Amino acid sequence: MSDEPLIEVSGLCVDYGLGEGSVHAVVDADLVLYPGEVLGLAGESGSGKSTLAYAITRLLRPPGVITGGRASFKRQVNLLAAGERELRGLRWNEIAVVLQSSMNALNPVFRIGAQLTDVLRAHRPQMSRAARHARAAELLEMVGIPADRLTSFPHELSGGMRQRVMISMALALDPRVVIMDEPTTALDVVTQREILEELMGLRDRLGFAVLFISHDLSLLVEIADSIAVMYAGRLVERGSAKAIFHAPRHPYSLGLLRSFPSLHGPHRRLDGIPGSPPDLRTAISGCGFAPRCQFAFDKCAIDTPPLLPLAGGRASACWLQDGERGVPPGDRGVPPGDRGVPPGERRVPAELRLPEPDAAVTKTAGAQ
Amino acid sequence: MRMLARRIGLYIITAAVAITINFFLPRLMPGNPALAVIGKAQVTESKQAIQALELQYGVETKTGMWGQYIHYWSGLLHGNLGISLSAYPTPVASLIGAALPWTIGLVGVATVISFVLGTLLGIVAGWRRGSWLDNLLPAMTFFQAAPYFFVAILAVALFATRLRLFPQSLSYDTALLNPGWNWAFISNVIDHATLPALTIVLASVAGWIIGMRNMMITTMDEDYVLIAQAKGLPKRQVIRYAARNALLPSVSGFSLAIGFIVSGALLTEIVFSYQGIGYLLLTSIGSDDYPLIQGIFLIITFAVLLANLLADFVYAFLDPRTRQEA
Amino acid sequence: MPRSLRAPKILTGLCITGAFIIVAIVGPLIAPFNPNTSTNTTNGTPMPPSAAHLLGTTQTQQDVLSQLLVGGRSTILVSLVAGLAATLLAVIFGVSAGYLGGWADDLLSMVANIFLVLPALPLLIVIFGFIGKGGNPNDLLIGVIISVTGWAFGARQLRAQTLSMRNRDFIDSARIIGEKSWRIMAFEILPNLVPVVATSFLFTVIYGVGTYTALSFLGIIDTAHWSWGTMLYWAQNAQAAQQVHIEWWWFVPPGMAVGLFGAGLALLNFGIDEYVNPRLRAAGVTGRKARRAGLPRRPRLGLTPVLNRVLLNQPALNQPALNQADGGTR
Repeated sequence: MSDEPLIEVSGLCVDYGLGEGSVHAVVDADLVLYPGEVLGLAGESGSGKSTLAYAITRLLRPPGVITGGRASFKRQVNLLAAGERELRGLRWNEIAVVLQSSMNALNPVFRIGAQLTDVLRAHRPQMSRAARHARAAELLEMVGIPADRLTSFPHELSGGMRQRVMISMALALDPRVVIMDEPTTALDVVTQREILEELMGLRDRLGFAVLFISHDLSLLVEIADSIAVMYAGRLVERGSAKAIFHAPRHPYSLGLLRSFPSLHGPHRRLDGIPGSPPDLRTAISGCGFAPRCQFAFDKCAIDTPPLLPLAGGRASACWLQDGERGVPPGDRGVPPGDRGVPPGERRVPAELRLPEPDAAVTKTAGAQ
Repeated sequence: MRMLARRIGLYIITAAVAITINFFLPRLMPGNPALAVIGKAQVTESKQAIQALELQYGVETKTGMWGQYIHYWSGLLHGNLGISLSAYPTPVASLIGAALPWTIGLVGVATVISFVLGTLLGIVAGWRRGSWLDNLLPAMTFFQAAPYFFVAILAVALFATRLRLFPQSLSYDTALLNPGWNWAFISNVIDHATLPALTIVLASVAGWIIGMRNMMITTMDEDYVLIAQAKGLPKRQVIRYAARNALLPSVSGFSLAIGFIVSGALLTEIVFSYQGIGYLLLTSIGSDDYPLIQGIFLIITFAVLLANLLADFVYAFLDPRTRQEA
Repeated sequence: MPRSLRAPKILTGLCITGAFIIVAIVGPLIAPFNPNTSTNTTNGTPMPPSAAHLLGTTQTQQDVLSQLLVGGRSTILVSLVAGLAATLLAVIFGVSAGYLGGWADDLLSMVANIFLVLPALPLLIVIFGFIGKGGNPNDLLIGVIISVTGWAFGARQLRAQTLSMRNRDFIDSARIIGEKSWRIMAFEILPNLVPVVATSFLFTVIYGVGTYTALSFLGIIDTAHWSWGTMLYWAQNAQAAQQVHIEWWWFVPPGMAVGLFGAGLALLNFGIDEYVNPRLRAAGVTGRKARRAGLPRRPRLGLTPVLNRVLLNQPALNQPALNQADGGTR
């Protein structure tokens, strides 16, 4: 598979509103999506993950405005500068979207069949009516829905069926990228599992890349190849799913992982992350997570950590990872918050210093 | 289908209520105006006429209240709305029958035009949110608030009297022409009907525009519109997807509006001395012709109920969710 | 003044409505003439505005301005009474129907639907016709009768809102404590419905003005009782708009008065609507602010705007890795 990324985002900034009172929903985000890869975008509500995904495709609703950065598709199309026509050519053909609430995502007054064939009519004008109908039936069968449902209306289907229809609708033009915004959150666990398995099966068969947005990190760890974690509008950690799961390098990821109970392994106390995310209207000085971080020290409140590259294609926006050593005592006094780290020792606490998982098993970005 | 059945039931009950109100009102009012009516009639009318009146208004007490009620209903079902006082001995039904087609023609055409125009403009105003159309909204609220007949009076003053573009009154030149299916007559009718129709459209269109605009704005926030955009569909298709949903409240609002529109249209007819129901109503009020007033009330009520029913059918057709059984 | 009240629509609406209320109160006191007196019994033509008669005279040489001021009180009073009474009925019927549910709801909804469908004006004509045209009609009574036809719409809206609130936690807890139904409706549910009640009230006042004017115009309400509608009745009677010299000063002032009063109320209503339904508010990225930032004037769906300075800063494509994207070695 080619090494050329499908989607490249660099330094993207997205605001809601302009001027004072505007909300900085995404700040300085970098992202790369390779062909066939499943990239998980993790974060809590308000972290900016959906905003980022919609901004890339210019689908963000007003008052969203893109205030900085670059985004390109296949290194050929500048997504930010593209005009309406160019975007329309790309949409659904190459990049498709699956939303969370499938009841609202399907137009209630039109039949399923019509909503499946409308893209065919728009993007494949040479297809005949019969061919469109055949393709629509094929799409439904692909997700296990009998073709006679083509004449149904959305309200006549169950929640799980509607979500399946949405997935098959997204694959109508065989896109290279499918953006999924919390596609299974609104479903019960059993249906969730079924749909995810079908989805991964389809991915293996058709080879499209997936940008999977979810607040459920444990879910992403299972299905994603790589994961990007967002907090307060910034990317705070990036790496392969396995690596992040076994060896997180950012206190927020650590906190998230600790919030999920594990079915196996020893019992341990379930910790949450105390505090709440910052107000995104004010520009944050220093690291946005610092107020809630148990490992924060003086630098964290002053300088905003960039996404520091680490070994193995990983990255973490945390000063603990900057490779600096502890300050010897007596030298301008021990800085407050530097919790008695012996001089010469790296600052990184043990929890954030776990060994990388088995390199042979790790699927890093680009190693396909 | 269940929804339609419930609506039909409602309309039947409402019609019954209207008929009952019509029956009881003259008997309930203090001083029994029926007596005053009959008193006036005694001077001019024949004995049979007075007897009929007494029967209609329950003055003669040989049959009890319930008997009179039944009698009233049976009369109605036979198309008997009583005898007009001012145009004695013409039955009320035939007076109304002569005037009704004029009103239905005028109101029907004007309402359809207003609805279609208002809805289309509303779609545009909602889609192109923030454009200059939004600045027209305050002006439109004025038109919505100003009474129909005032707009009518203004229209007469401006277009008919001042600019002499259209005739000032009547439904056709009664002095010159006789009714008939010839072009001279029809064109004359259209000529006379334009200004009244224009008035009705002007006075009612604002409501449709504003309603549709607001609904479009709300609909455009829905996920299926976002998906339609994400699908890269042409703009016209996206608008169609949104408008088809935004239309629904307008159609159901039509049922509410029809009562207002009909009332407004009647008043407009008066300003133009247009020989429809409105004008008939004015003369009946002026001459205290109670049977005629009551007859008009019933006919207007039935017409409005019928229009409501039609609107309900259209709504059921447009919204597949109503076809679900319970 | 709280930010919300400063919205242009609410402010304009308040000013207009306020002005009219003042007219209603002081109108008859500042009227230069008695609207009934004819200042000149020999002249049979309405006179255009002059120094003595600021808005001209009617056919019988009555002062139009005085009629407007005196008639204003009746018109505004009747519409306010109609609005109040109708809103009261709407609250009682609507909230009860929504909260009580079951057969009470079915019954109350049925009554509301009937009144909703019955055409109001013809019904009022019949009622007023039988009450009698003579005698001195009482503004309050007229307002109440008009309200009987105008409460149903508000009732339906309030019922819908009450239904959506009925199963909320705080209602449940009040019920569990054992609070009486009417107390729950009055003190728990109603305070949350204030915006809907306000809109309903304003809407019904507009309806009241229109209906009262229409009834007076028809002559079914005593034509000697001055209101804006009565002025229009007399003007129409004398065919003021059809004269060669259009007697505009006779019918334009009362008509404009009704229209403006209604427009003021409608603007107020819009303002409240926008406040309650934030989607209707301008999204904040329109107009001057947007243009200064180099954005298109109005936001277009499906085309998220990008600031101009960002677009100027774009590199050529087909370059190898943008700086940190690959997480390359460093």
